[in-house]
Amino acid sequence: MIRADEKPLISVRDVHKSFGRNHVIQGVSLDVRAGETLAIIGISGCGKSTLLRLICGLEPPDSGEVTLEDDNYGFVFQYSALFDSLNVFENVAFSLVEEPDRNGGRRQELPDSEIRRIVSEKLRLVGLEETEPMMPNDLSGGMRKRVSFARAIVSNPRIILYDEPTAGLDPIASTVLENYISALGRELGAASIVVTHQHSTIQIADRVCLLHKGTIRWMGTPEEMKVTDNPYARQFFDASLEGPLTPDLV
Amino acid sequence: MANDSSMTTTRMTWFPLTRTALGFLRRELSNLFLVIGQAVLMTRAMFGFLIRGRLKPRHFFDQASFIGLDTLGIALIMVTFSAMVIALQVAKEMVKQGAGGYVGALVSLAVLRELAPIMTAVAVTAMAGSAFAAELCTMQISKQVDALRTLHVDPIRYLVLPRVMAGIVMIPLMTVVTATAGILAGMVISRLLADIPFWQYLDSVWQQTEYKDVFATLLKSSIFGYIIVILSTSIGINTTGGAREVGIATTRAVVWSFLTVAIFDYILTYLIYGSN
Repeated sequence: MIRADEKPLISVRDVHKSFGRNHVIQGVSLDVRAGETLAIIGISGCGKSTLLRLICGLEPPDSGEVTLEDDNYGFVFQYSALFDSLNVFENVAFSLVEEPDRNGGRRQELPDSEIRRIVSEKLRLVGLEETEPMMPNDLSGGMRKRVSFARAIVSNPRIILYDEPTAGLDPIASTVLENYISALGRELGAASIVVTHQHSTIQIADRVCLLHKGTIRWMGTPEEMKVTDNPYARQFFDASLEGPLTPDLV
Repeated sequence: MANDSSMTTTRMTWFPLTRTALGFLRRELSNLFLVIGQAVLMTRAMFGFLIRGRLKPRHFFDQASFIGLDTLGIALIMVTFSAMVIALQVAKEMVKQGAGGYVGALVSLAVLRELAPIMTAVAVTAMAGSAFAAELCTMQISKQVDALRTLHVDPIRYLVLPRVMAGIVMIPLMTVVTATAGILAGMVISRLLADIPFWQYLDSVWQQTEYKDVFATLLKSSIFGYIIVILSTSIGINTTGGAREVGIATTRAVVWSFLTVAIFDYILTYLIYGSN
């Protein structure tokens, strides 16, 4: 249940970001509350992934403010970004074993048996409890994505960021992952942002935000998207060649 | 007429070539200064982690065993054969000149002061330096370095610090082993080819080798270890692009490490022995 009066877990205020002369993000503001899933959509190169990197601090904004209410967040990368020198268990257990460097903080030391229990539980959640000793290179693309999910949620974060989690997967694997995203949002009560191109992934979001040339052009629910007159949303939803997005597509 | 035509052709061929060469030189030099700047910043960050006791022994020993086990064999072969070549070249001649009692000293000083530290550094650059550059570059390109950051782990503390510390500690240790093997190999060759007794060779080594030589070897090797690993990791972790860039970064790490080691070898040798 999302409460509008609740303080947002993710708050972005008038953020700008340029790379050289390329002004990628131009004054974006948005809020995401606990239990809410926001899908960020738009054509390739519109600034979706950059916005996600700004939110989690991988890139500093040129101006504006990004506030995360909880420093403990999970990030699922487009190509999984599993550590290829570590096996599946070590990848998932990484943030439980390694001391964090941020804020000079030291993580509470967990006994090995507890780490083993948590990792098994998270891998079971994504249906991969048998893969613990396997190396990432031995897994399929879909399995790697699921391990990446397990790694992102191992410390029960209240904020989860997904960068095109279903890109390049077959429809069934996509559905499996979309179910995980929905379930994780509900079970952890997490605020989630999903950068995506895929219609099926958009449907699991509570709100959809259409980004074009670094600016939010439309925001609403997936149902509203189906009936909106907004030319940007209309063209994206209909996959039409006619509309304001076209000059940047051809 | 024919001369004019040939001059025009020469000008047309050489002008773009010179421009390309100058452009390449300018690009490489600006890259070199960029990498040196990044290496300085990384060193400052590493120092901070080190004084806060953030180097994990497990990470250090992983890298130390990688540098040691993977490189020692090659370094041993290179130093041993180089020492044998020196003994082969000088032992007979020196005996003929009545200086057979100095063969051990000559081989020992050449090996300790120059061959062992340089050859070991070359072996480490070729084996470990190139591997570090390629591995970190691949991790950067495949977003594994970003993944570390999202898990609140600083890549310099986790990836760079253990490798650099392993380089600083392991290369001097390896140099001691390779130098000892080189001196002993020289002894065997001197005995076989010039009939110099073992005791005479070893006595010469003992009489002419000073503590200063051993200290200089260890100091040089530590500094070479730092240079090789900081350059390789700095180039690797700061490269972006694709598979082509991994190849370029690896080559660059090896070439720049060789050049920097050669330059620092001269500077250190001058500072240690030049004033005498």
